[in-house]
Amino acid sequence: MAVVVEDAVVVVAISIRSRAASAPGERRAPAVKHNTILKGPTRTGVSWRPELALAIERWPHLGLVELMAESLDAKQPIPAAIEGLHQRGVPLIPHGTSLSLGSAEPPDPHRLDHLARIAERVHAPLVSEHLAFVRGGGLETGHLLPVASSREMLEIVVENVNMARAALPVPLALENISTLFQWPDPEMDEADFLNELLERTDSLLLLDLENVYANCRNFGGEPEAFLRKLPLEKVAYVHVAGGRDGKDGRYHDTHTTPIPQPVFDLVTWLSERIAIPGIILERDDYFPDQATLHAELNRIRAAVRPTGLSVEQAHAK
Amino acid sequence: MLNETRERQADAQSHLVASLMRGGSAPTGFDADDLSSTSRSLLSKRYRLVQNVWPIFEASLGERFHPLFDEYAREMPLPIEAQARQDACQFARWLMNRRQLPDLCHLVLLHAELRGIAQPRRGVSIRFAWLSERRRPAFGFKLPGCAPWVVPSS
Repeated sequence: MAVVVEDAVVVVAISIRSRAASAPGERRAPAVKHNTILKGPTRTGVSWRPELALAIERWPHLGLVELMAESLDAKQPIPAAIEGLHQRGVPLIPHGTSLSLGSAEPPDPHRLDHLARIAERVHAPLVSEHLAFVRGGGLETGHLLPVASSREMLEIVVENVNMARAALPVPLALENISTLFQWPDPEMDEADFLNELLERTDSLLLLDLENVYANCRNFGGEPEAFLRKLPLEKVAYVHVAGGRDGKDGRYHDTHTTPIPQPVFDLVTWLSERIAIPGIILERDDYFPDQATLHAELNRIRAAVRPTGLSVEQAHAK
Repeated sequence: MLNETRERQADAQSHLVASLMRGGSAPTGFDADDLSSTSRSLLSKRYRLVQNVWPIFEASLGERFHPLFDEYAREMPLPIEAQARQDACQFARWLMNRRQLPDLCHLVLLHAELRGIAQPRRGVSIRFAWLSERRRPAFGFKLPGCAPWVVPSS
């Protein structure tokens, strides 16, 4: 059965801002002034999992796919199902979870090299990671933990992200995370931290709307007020997912349930303000059947209200 | 200057991670309930991932699986690559050292070791194991490019 790809592949076009030349041997990608990497109408897709491979392949509107970078071996052939998506012209975005760019230590060169190699192998237009740390004192947590909102940590993370960008062949997008705790005595809020970090590192924003929703559920605040403070012109793409209410009274970002209506509402809210380049559905467990997955993806598409403006036009408005 | 800052922040992150992973007291200034929720969430995620990659644990250990895994996770940190398969192998060896590894899990561990999941290996691999429930030995080998061959098979 022929499968229609909604949007043709576009040549990656990146606005280049003048900047100091990278050191010899560095793979640093050009700086990005505005996000123009994924062109055309909003692309919708899924974070690829073997359990969902067939359902993903069969969705006729597939416009974007995210790959878990750590689950791919840069020395082995790319799985045939993923290779097939590339042949269809679906942009593939490696998404890292272990760089730990929010660690007090510099990022591991081997992990950076792995992400760079995967990006090259799948011809990725960009890669993404989290504003988080995942290890400390020799212990792995297997989880994304928030960075202290202090000037000191900001300086460290700026240096870490600049080291990462120097090692990566394509632009880097950083994702806001959800958390169940906060560091004491914050010197700035998360939005200010993200704004300055993205500005000083020429990085893009992977905006996780469910994480925004989760943090507001657990710590208070209006998601829209938080979003208004972010540099929305730097949104490379968006994450959506569903979590669950825990017995501890907190909302847990589990990626195991259908997307809640408030997150769909945030998609609509955002799409009325910027031309969202892409939206990725994340599902990590309790995988739905094909019909359920397709229905959820169709709901995401329906939640987008295109402004008809480019990111630059919307931002300039 | 930044090196000193990194050391100071590394200490703070290390204390926090130790508290979350080892179940120690909350570092000064943090909300203890929030950290406790996070700690349980980490444990639950780790448990669920291992359960997914090795469903044989739950099938073999039944109701003992959850409390045993909780004890294991408090005692043993995640393997450095934080992959569920490595964690499952580590849990199996932890059970083996306590003489609580069911035979079926032991055979799965044998397979995993032959396939190099526990630790990368090349060439011909040969492994022996003692199945404590059946009170008999198990034997397996793997040739390059072939699937492991194990006796008994289950």
